[in-house]
Amino acid sequence: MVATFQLSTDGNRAIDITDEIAAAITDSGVAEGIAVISLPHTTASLGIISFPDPLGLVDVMDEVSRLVPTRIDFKHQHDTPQDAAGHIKSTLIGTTLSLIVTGSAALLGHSQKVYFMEHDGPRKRQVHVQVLGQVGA
Amino acid sequence: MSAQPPTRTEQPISTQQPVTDDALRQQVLSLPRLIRDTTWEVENEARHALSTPDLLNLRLAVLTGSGDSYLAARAAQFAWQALGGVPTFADDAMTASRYRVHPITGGQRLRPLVVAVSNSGEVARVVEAARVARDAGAAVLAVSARAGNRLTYAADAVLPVPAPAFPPAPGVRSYVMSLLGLFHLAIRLGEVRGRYTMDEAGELRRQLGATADAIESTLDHAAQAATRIAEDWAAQGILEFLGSGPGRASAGYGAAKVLEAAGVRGYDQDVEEFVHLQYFAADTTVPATLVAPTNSAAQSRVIEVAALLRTLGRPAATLSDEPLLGHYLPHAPGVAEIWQPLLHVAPLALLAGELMRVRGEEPGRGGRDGWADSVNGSTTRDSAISAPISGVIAGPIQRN
Repeated sequence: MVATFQLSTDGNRAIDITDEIAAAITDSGVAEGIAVISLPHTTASLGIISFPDPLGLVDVMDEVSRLVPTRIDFKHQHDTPQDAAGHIKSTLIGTTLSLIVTGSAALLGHSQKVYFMEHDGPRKRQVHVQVLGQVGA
Repeated sequence: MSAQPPTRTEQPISTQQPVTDDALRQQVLSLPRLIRDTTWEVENEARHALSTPDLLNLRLAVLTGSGDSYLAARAAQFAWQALGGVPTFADDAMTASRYRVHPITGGQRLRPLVVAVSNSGEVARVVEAARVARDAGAAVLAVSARAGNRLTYAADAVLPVPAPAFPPAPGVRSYVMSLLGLFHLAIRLGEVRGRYTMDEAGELRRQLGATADAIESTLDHAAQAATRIAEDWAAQGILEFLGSGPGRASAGYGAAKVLEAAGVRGYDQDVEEFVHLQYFAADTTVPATLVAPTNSAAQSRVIEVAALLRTLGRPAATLSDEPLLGHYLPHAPGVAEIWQPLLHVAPLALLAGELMRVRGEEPGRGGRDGWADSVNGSTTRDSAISAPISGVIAGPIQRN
């Protein structure tokens, strides 16, 4: 079963969703398996980023914007320049992520967390999580 | 674009239908469906009418038209400024063409945008304003029912705002379409310039579309009120309409409709300026219609003016979501003030239609006797265009 949670972003930044994913894994009852995280959006993405220094998150978002600056002459003009740039960022980084689930928890490195990366905020967003595998005792 | 402007498109006599008071009423009753059926089409066209660089470079806008189209410009000016954050003039076409465009365009590094509104695209003064603007170096966007007329040929871009075919009546559906076009452009302007998020822009668009529900909710009561007021004021030769901001544009629309439909000498005035001017008129028998929505920024002054009208013993009506003075001509509550000119079309046009009925009038005086010159819109369409067009001065268009 797909678990879905909502979040409201307040701008273009990386938002920690590790706890929400952990809750979805716990609720699933799966002890050994895979958790697939997926976004139904085209101007946001997912990333596993180092979390101890918050400025590192800022660096990541800044570099994404440097690589894909918000220009006014994108061919996609139906919405806004930020939206057009957001589509490109989302495509390059990706909107799905898979995590190993072992011992009823996501297998993450000691400095790893999962982040929702907003590229066209502020917006109201959703995150889907599906956990597959062996149910624990 | 062709080198020579096209000849004016004529409406074949066979498609001209007599305008009845019922035709006007039917146009009003059709407005909720018209808005629902067309708003998202107009919204989509508005997204593509101007490019992102054009919208981001915009520093000054002039909305212009004649008659109802000028009223639409006056009504939309506030939305353009509030949402787009761009200083926006709303000029009649004569002012835009002969007094405004050159001084604001000459020597400007960034081009002003002139938005020229004309349903037919053949009103000479509006065509002239577009040509003068373009020659002066301004960017020109035509808001017209369709492309292929003199106005759209004179413009850099076109926002088509066609209303589905309907028996004709003085400026009801066409006015609403012009308003929808200008309002959607205003939302788009603010969205691209980052004044609000895409989600908030979407909400503004939904609000605009929801005016259809607001209009529909009070149509019956407004129709009954219009009948009562018209029967009370049937013998009046002058009607005064007072409003401020978007309400002033609505007041202008009311005055225009009673003129066109019923031949009554209507005029509009700002609520504040009334106190400095018309307040002192010796004839206190002239009815005043106050445009007084309770969420208007001018509401405090409207209430004061209502008290003055009461003291003068003036016949009065209030166009509002709550009664205030005299006859009550209702509209729905809860519509943002910048969208209210759309809301006010129905009650004001119904009033004009009822006045036309009780006075036994024909719109435009039937184009007979002293008004014979106005048949086929000649008085507005055939005026000499006084503007250089590639070095050629254009005179009245020759009919074949």
